[in-house]
Amino acid sequence: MTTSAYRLTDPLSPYLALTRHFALVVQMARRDVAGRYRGSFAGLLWSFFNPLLMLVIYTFVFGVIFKSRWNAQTTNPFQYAIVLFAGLNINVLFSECANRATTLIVENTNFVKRVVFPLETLTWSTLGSGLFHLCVSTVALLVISPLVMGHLPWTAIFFPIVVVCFLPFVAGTVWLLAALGVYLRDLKQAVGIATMALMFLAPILYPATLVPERYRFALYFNPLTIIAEASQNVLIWGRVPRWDPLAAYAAIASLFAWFAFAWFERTRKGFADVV
Amino acid sequence: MSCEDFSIRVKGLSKRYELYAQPADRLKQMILPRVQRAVRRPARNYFSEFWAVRGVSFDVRKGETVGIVGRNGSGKSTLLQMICGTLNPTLGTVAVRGRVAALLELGAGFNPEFTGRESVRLSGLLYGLSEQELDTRFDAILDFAEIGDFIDQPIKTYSSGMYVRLAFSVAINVSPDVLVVDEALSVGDEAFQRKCFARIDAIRDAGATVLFVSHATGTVVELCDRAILLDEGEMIADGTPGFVVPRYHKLLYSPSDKAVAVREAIKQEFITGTSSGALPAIQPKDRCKSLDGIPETVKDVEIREVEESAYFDEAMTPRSTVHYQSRGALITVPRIETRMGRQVNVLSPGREYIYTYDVLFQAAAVGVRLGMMIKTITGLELGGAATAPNPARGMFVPAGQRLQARFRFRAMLAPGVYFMNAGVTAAEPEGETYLDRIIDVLMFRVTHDADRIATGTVDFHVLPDLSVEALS
Repeated sequence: MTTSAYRLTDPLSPYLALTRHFALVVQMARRDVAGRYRGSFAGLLWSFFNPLLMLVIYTFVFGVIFKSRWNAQTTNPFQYAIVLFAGLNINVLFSECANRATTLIVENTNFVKRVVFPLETLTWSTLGSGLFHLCVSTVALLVISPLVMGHLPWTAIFFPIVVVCFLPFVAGTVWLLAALGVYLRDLKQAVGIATMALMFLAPILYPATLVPERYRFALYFNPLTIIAEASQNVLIWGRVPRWDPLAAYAAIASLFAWFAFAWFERTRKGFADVV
Repeated sequence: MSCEDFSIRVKGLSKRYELYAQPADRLKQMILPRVQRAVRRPARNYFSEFWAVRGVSFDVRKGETVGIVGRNGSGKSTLLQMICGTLNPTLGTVAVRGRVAALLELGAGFNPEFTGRESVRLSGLLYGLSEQELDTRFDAILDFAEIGDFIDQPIKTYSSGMYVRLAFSVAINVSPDVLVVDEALSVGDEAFQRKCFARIDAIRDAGATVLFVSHATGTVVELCDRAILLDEGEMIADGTPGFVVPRYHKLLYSPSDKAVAVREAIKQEFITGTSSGALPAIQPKDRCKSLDGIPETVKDVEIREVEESAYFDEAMTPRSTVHYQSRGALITVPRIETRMGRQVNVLSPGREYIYTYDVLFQAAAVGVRLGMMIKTITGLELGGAATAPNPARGMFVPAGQRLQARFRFRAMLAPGVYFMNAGVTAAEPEGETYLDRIIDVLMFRVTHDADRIATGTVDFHVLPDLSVEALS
């Protein structure tokens, strides 16, 4: 019982946590999504209105007031907001999961102390609810984009692949921070700032080409960069993603997830002592 | 106990709580001692330790119902949590066969933000039910919990009773192999409790093992085949509830300076096995059965008082007697006598008797009161009296003095068996305390009376009157 329920030497162990308890993960994620809008009049519609309203604000602030253009050729005031939105959705998924991760265990004390709960699945259900919101935002984007840009790129069908490459990284981050957050309560504050920094230091608010050549390589140390650019490519520019960096990213992310999962499983026996 | 059909096997189970001043120390403890050892420095501990459970070993057979009793902080909950798997043992092993459904403390595992419906689904999934199984059992769960439309409200809006009803309803409807019940049932109302006990019986009859923790020792005696007494994390007694519960009471009510000695005595008795299980389980039903043979002994009794048919039956001695730790006084020769001074325990209804006992005072005492209580077989206190209304009006007794208390009472009772308590209290600086007390010191039976018109347990000497009114 002191050992993990998984063979931690198996690099697939993080995904076994999902497949073994799939019904539970779905139930928890569903509850999480429903719980957010419980009692509100419009309910789930909010998760659709939310990104839509954000888009309107972005368009007004960046497109109309700042007159920001992603590239100089266009005069379309909607363009910047749409591109921003494509990258921002990726950041929202990451930062929401990362920020919730720090208190994931602490806020579910009952699951640690009172019942035999597969705590490792909390990561997947957190991810599940994040993915739901990403889906809704993406649908909103795909509805608006042809209206303001004139067309819907066919490459949007690659978007799920981009997201799948991203997931191991997000899952790994959640396991890492969830376990660490139990012991280091200051983590919540630090992670809040870190996720903000990652957003500004990724080509989400500006194209990478705007960054001076000699600093540009630094952008690619940001784990959000490759994914944000790939999303913009497939959702906006109609470009097929560059597969090599994406594959490399997925490989490294999987290693990270494996490590983070093992770390979580090794440290979880101490949770009950401190929550 | 080496039989292979065990349901729970606990071996050398110990739990050390590591108390950390702050959560970060827990992380240091995980990493730094290894580093220190690696650099050949003595490893440092970043916690203070507390052993909640120490070296507990026992087997529970399939279908057994085991009660775990012990004072607060004796390690009961820790032990149960380790059996359920929510807590990792520091040393030793736990093996449990089959599905464990646990009701640990209130509303186990339910998140207050979840609705009842969500909680039920979640708990069901955690117990390993499939979605389909859940769907088929959902109605049964809802039905048993009796919470109606509240099922779609967040748990935080529930009363504690509703909380427990739902949790219990889930636990028993997942067809557990092992059901762990910890204190929770005391919250429900009596009707629900009765329903729960009936269901626990059904689960047990179906071959499941039940682990039961309660301060209500009456329930343990009633429900369990076996009891385990934990104290300071150690198992100090294991046997029939009738054997274990009185020892628990003795420990519970012993003065703090004698508690250690009492504890050692119980432990010694347990380890040497002098009387393990020697006392049979006391079931109220058994008590009744043991009385069935009484009429035969009637002829042996010499009836001196023509009008008094009361007699003494030697076989009628309570087996539930609990003698509390004496604190300077000793109750001796408790008995019931007729007014002529003949000892009896089979009484005629409506007649007067004298309940009497002697008290020897080893130390001087002030504010002394001697008391008695008559109880039914279920422990309901029917009535009693003390020799003074309050300690201030109690008497002073010098050391070495012997007192005799005589309580004259009329057996205004329905036919049946009753139990007597005896107790001596004195005023002490910390308040009134028992110098000596014996629960169920003796039992008596009230015989049948063919002319009895009273109903219920207590005869209020109601005088009915009927008048026939002429038809107009």
